[in-house]
Amino acid sequence: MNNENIHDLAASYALDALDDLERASFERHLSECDRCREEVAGFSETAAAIASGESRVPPPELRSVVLGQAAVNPQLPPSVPVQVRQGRRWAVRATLIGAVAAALLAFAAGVLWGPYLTSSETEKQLVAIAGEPDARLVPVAMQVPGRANLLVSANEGAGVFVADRLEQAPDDKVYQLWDMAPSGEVAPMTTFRPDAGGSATVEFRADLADTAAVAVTFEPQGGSQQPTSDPIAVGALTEA
Amino acid sequence: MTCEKERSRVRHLSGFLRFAPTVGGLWSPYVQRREVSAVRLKPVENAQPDPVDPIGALLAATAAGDRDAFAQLYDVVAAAVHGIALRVLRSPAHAEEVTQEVFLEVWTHAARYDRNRGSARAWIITMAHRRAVDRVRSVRASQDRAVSAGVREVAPLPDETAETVERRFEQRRVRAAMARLSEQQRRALELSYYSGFTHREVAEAIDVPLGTAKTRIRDGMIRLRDELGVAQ
Repeated sequence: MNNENIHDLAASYALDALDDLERASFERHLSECDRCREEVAGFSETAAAIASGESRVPPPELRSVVLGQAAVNPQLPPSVPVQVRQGRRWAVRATLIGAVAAALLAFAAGVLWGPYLTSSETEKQLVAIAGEPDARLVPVAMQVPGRANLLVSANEGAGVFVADRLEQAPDDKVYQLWDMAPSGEVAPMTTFRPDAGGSATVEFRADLADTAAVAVTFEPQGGSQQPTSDPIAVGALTEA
Repeated sequence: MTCEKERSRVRHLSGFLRFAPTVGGLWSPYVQRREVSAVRLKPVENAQPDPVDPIGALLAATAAGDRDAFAQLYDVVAAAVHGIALRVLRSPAHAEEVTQEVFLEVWTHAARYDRNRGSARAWIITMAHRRAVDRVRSVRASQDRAVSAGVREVAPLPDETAETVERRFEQRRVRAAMARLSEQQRRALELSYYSGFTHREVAEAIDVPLGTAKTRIRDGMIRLRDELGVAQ
């Protein structure tokens, strides 16, 4: 699909007339295009009006089935909880499944965006981590453009840093992840470059039981053993 | 590329000192973020009734766990949900399953509805249509897929007595607006929205280039949106 005319897909999107790959890539586009979001909103209202023209009352017994479902199924919270709490684990798990689904969609979208395919190893790792009972999704505070989350599991001793809308690193620099202990000690982790679309999915291994935060810095190519610049992003795993 | 399996802590004083002055700065975004998420978790934000959107108000109450509100919400939108599922799927059994799935999703995801992204009604109908289309596509893919067979299915369903004046009025209004589209636009919209065709399949079915199909869909939707006076 051509990026020049991706803006013209809002109507097709609202009518569900895109195939799965187009849908995934358009959704990715939607997250960055206010104009298309507005258009989709208007077209979705229009589509809903078309649907109203087709109203058919369902059989009466369906009502009790539906209300019965509500009686036995818990509701999801409004947003991603930061910590796993007792009794809310199901909600976090459901959220993580959503996050993984979103990540997988992003991989599907990546197919359209060309050569920067995420390795299936990372994909497997993401699924493995999300499957751990202690898996958590942690937002990363960014001091540079971009959005990022960490998916971490101490059981698995691993995490994945998932980011999009990142800028390319300055000349001769790469992004590097750091494992920060509560004492302030830092241990070097993986270096990476975002793909052409500004996305990055980076797996890392760390003894997360003793990790206070995962930080990101710009480092010379090849990475550093100790940070040579201030952090540009921090995902705090423990309470301050 | 360095990826340490073992955690080998590097405690160089210089490295630590480089980080140390920024530790306050490191943690402050975190504190800030926690405040933000606290605000987002506050049920009040979603529970605020919206005077112009009664369905939104029912959805907000549903998000707060109110089963009576959920029952009322069902009574108000079930016919639209079931109707579009039936129109797309042409099978009462499939349509009922989709209706059931949609309302389960409405119940579990009510708190995730963001009214800045559109009306509660559109949120629910979008969900219903998406599920119906995904289902009809997977059914079609598993059958001997002949696009022509799908096209034949577009024949309208027999009319059914709509049980409220309001609903009958809305149906008449939408059908009148549809009737004012060009024949080509209406056909393109019907094939995509009612038959669950992708724009590529629409192009094949009416034998025009993909670009033409896209344009008809887009122009038809713009015209319909304006005819129906949908707020942009």
